Amino acid sequence: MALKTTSYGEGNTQLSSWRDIIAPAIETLQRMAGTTENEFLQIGSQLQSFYQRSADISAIANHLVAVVSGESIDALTSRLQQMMVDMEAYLANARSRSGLSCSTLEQVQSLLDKLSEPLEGFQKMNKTLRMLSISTKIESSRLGELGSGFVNLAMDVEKLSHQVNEKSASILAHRQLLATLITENLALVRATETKQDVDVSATLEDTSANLMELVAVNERCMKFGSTVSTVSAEVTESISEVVSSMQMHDMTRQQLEHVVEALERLMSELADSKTSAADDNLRRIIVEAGDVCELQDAQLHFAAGELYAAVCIILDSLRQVARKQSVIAQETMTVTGAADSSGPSFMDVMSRGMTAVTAVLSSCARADENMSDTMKKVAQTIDEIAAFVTDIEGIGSEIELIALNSQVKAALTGPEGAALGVLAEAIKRLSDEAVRQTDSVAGTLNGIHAVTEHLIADTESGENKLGTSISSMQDELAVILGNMGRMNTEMHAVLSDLNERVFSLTRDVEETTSGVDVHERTKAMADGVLASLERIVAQSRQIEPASSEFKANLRHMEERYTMESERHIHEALARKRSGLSAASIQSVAKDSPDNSEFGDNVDLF
Amino acid sequence: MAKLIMTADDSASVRQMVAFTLKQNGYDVVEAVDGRDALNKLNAQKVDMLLTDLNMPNMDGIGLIKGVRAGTLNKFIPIVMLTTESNDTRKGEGKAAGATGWIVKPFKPEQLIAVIKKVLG
Repeated sequence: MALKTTSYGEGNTQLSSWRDIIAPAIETLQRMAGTTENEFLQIGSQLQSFYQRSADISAIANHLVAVVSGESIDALTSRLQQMMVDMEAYLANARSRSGLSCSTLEQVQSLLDKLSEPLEGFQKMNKTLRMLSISTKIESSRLGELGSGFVNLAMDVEKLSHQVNEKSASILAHRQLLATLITENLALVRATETKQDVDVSATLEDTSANLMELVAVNERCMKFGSTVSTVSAEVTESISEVVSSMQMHDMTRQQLEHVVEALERLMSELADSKTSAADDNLRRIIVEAGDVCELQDAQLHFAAGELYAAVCIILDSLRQVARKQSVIAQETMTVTGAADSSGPSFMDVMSRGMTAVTAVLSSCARADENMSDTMKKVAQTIDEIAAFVTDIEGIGSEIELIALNSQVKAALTGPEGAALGVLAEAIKRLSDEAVRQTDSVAGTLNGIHAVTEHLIADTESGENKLGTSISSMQDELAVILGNMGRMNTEMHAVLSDLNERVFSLTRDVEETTSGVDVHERTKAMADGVLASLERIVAQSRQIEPASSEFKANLRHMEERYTMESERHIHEALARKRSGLSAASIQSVAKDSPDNSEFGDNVDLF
Repeated sequence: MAKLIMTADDSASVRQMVAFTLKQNGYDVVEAVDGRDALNKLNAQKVDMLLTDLNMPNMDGIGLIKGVRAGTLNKFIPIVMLTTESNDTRKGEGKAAGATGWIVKPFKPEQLIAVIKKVLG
């Protein structure tokens, strides 16, 4: 509809309808400019809290890493590695000593078997002595008065036979005792060794694995320092984005004020025209209304878009801050070797491993003591057997004397005592047999003594040395376990604190960001105003097409602009209306790339 | 002792962001809601630097700079304009009034801190 075909009355009606559209649009824009400040202030105050809490989380993560790394852990690792070597050496030594002891006990066991023959000899000797005693008594009674001296001899022989029997029984009992002791001890040592082999193997394997984990933790911690720095830098970048975007509120407010000023001026023009518009003036006002609304539509579109994008950046950046701290917390648990703050850490596993090592060492020490006791008992029993053998030797000497005495008396008795002479000869042979058997037993006992003597000496000195070594290892392990326990407790406490803080930060960020709808509300308000302005532009252009007078018509507006973006938008639209090529309004409004010392938006005079 | 910087801006959210940035970097901050409020405070309190907006009610940034330079207590402090205004003519007015520098909003915190470090030596 061209103006020339529009009546004055119709034109005025159109202008009146535009005023009816613009007035509420101005109200909406004023509300839009004035009601967002509090929401931005609230986000701003939350931002300060989030930033501080984020910095605290980074600091705690760094502290936690320091707890499980650093010089103290280096020293601990080195010492544990040395202790592992010492423990392995100790256990090898203990195993070697145990092997030697067992071998010695087996030799003793074998030597004890050799006592069987002489002991059986003693038994036979006992029987023979008793028989000789009886025969002597019979013969002496046959001789009557002549054999009276032989009765006493027969009683002595019988008495000696009892003594031989008693002593050999004692030797037999002691031998049996020794055999049982040795058998039990060998069984115990073998059972203990089997268990120790399993325990030692598992413990050393675990400890070795945990030591490697400790070294790995240290290495990871070294790298984690840079991860925390990187994340902190990224958080700072996110905060920087928020700080920049928060300023868009103020900038948008100013842009809206400029749009409102332009529309208010248009309202005034439209109101004036109501009473005085001539056709030319009416045409000018309709064109200007189209130009003003088209320009303000572009300005508002840009400003509202910038505000919407800024709020999205703010929300996204705040969520990024929470996400980054979650990453730090997760990474912290990974590098410190803790699956989660409540679960067992490798420190727990290591502590248990060290405790197991201590138990194995204690078990070795007890086994060593047992072996030492056994050796002492062996020596003591051998000494006791030796005493019995000495007694039997004494008995043999007495038998010999009795035999000599019998021979002398038999000779004095003459031919009548010939039979007694034969008996005396038999007793003499028995005394020789006693000497032979006791020599055999003594030889065996000396053999046992020889194989056990050096071992007993070694055991006593070795026991002392190993006892001192184990004691010092256990003391040191107790200190290490204490340190690890404290470190572990602190680590768990800090991890728990860290997780609580990250959870709380994430929750608060989520609560804050999900509650922000200022961008959606302002977008809805802007969309309503934009639709109104676009309707006026369309109606205006339908009445009177846009002309190249745009720039001249709106020159007065340029003076009000404060922002480069406003000038760019104005210029782009003016070029478009003049038929010149223009870059898109959105793209010309963007900042130029930074290439100065502080950025293109900074000038130092 | 931390340096004291005044931020003068009629936008509370901008003052909040400026103060946040400065405090995070170890500066103490005093706020003013417009040029007149700033000048009143500057006549009574010594500060190390002034960051001011250009367009403010009651007294604008140029008027504030002139007032500070005409005074005694903070006559020689660095004054940096922190404004949405990017017009060269206005920058010229600021420079003529005695501004030390001009930062167009939106600023990045690191930019602001770099400028402050530069002008405070």
